[in-house]
Formats: sequence, C-alpha cells, structure tokens
Amino acid sequence: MTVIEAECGLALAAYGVRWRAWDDATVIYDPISGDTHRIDKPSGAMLRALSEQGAMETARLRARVDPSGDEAHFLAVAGLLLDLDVLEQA
Amino acid sequence: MQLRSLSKQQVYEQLKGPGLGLVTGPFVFRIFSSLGDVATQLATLYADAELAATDSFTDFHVRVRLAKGLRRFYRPQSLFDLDGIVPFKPLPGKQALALLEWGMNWCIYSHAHNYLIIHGAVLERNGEALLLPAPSGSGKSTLCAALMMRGWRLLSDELILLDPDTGLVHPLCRPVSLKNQSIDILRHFAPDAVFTDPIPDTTKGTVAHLRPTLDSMQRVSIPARPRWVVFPHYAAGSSTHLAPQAKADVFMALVDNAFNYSILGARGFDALASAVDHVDGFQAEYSSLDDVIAALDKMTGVISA
Repeated sequence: MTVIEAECGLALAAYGVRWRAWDDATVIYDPISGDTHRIDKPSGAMLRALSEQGAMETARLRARVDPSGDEAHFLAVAGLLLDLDVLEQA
Repeated sequence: MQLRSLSKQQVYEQLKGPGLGLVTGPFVFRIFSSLGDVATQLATLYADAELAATDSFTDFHVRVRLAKGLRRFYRPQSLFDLDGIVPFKPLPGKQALALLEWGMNWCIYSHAHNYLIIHGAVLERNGEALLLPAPSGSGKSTLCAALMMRGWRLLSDELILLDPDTGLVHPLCRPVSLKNQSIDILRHFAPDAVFTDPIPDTTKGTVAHLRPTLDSMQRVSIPARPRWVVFPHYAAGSSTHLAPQAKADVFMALVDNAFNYSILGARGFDALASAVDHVDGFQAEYSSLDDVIAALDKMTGVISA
C-alpha cells in the first residue's frame, strides 16, 4: 500500500475528473485523455464515497482500507485512476 | 413570413440572386443555387419555414451548383460549398438536393459547438422529448417519420441539439430523410405525407425527403426537456419489445453517437450526465410501426395503459 489512496480525493478534484454514479454503474470523464470510462457498481460506489469525503489523511485512509475486505474495490478505483494517468505511481 | 408565400419562380430568383434565407431552428442558412430542381424541392419541403430577411444575420452561407466545364454536359456533377469552401467530393447532378441537406447537417455538427450534438432523431409530446439516437440503418428515420405522422412534434430527424446550459433540446425541424424501402413504407403508412421525388443511386441508396408537419414547423422555436431515450432496432419479423436500459449504458451510447462530445470536454460530460439523470432509457426492437408506436405512446403516457 502506498499513499495513492489518500491522493485520490485530491486528484479527483485537482485534475478535474468528472464522474456520475447511478445505481448500476459509474461513468468517469478523464480530462487528460478526454476519454470516458464506465466502471461497474462496487468500484463506482467506492469512488462516490471518496468524492463525498474529499481528500483524506493518509493515516486515516490506511486505517479504513482493508485490501482483503469489503473495501478492496478501492484498489480497483485507484488502479483505474492510475490507468487514466490521473495519479502517479507512488 | 413563410416560404409558402413565395411562388416557385420567386424562390428560384432568390436562390439565384441574393440567396434564400431560411430559419431552421436556432440557425439561419442563406442558400444560393441556380438549379431549378433545387428551387422546386426546397419550395415543397420548407413551405412552412420562416424566411430570413436579406440583411439579417446569417450563420451559414451555402451554395449548391453544378461543376463547371464539360462536366456540365457529360454526367453533370453537383457541388456543395460553405463560404466558397467545398468540403465534399461532388455527387451526380440529380442528387443536388440530397447533397444540400447533408451539407447543411455538416455545417451544424461541424460548427455549432455551443450545443452538444448527438446523431439521432428527437420528437416531443406534452413538453417532453423522446430521443432516438442511432446510427444510419437502424430504422431511426422511419420510426421518427411515423411518430411525426401520428402526432408527435418533430424537433429533428438527424441532429439532437442539447444546450449544456439549460439541458433543453432545441428543434431544427428540417425534412426527414428516408431511404430505400422506408419511402414506400411511409407512403403507405401516411398517404397524406408530402415527399420529394425519390433520388436514386446515392451513396445511401434511394433517398426521398419528407416535409415536417405544420404543427412541428409552427412550434420550431420551442425547446423540450429530454425525458426518454429509445434506441430503435428494426428486426424483420420480430415482435415489439421495449427493454429498459441502465443509465450508464444510456450515457455511453449517447457518447458514442455524439458528434462533438470530445470537443466540449467536461462541459459535454456534465450536460450529458444531467440529461441522463432525468431520462428513462429503452432498447426498442420492432418490425411493425403501428405496434411500436402504440408501445411508445403507452410508455410515454400519451395513451393510458
């Protein structure tokens, strides 16, 4: 685990990432490439949670993310943002 | 003043001289041509359209003409230009009207980036808009024409103009372009409909244009709010079936059908996401126009269940 998770909330705002979560899935607009992506429900829900909480302190985020637990989808979100070049690999 | 107040000779003289100013929704086209067939067909198709004064602001100055030289006599070709620039290869001379219509579409989707423009038809009932986004060959125009002839107000057969600021869809109300078998199907479906003569051998097959209904033309300045998105799919022999679509799927399909989504960037995303928030999406498979119209009327509450 790195500090990627903590940066997600900041990055979403700082890079102008847009997203919309509906019951079935979430769509994300990447302002760097101009591409739009559709992600399925669990990852989308986690992204929405991140957006509502904003940037979190690293320690606090680390404390609540359990890669083997229910919030493992967070990793998928972080991976997606990495793929979008919104985040740099820490 | 509507175009129908001019005689065909006056239409021809305006086209040949100062240009015929046509108001099509939010845009003013000034059309130049010395082709008699074009004058006759425009007089038929745009009879109920508002004329723009000669000195009024014009969005697009367009011309359709025959290619010069020996071509005028041997297999004549027609050319379309915008401000003197010819964006397309020439087409056979008899396809001048179709070329003009396609060229006018091109003018809008290539330049009017104050709208998010989606390839599709859009109609309205009770202030709510039904969007039919689809590529060519899906049966979109046939269904659009049939709905219009059954009382839906036509906003556009080809270009959905979504205003990112208001979330409203603005009408263009231009002729419906029908192709191949759809022409006879609509003639049979709506015997009172006004068509131009079919133009054979275009790149899309035989094409004929259908005049918008008077009601559609009279309310061309009134936008509508998107309420339903239906992806039409004609399948011979199939029974009518409306399948609900997930919002994310509706969103992505609209992106796929948008002309300028990438140009608008985040603004386009926000506009589309806000629209999808408020619509119900369906995939419509059908083979009978009467059946699918009944299903759509029921779905949209035009008739009770």
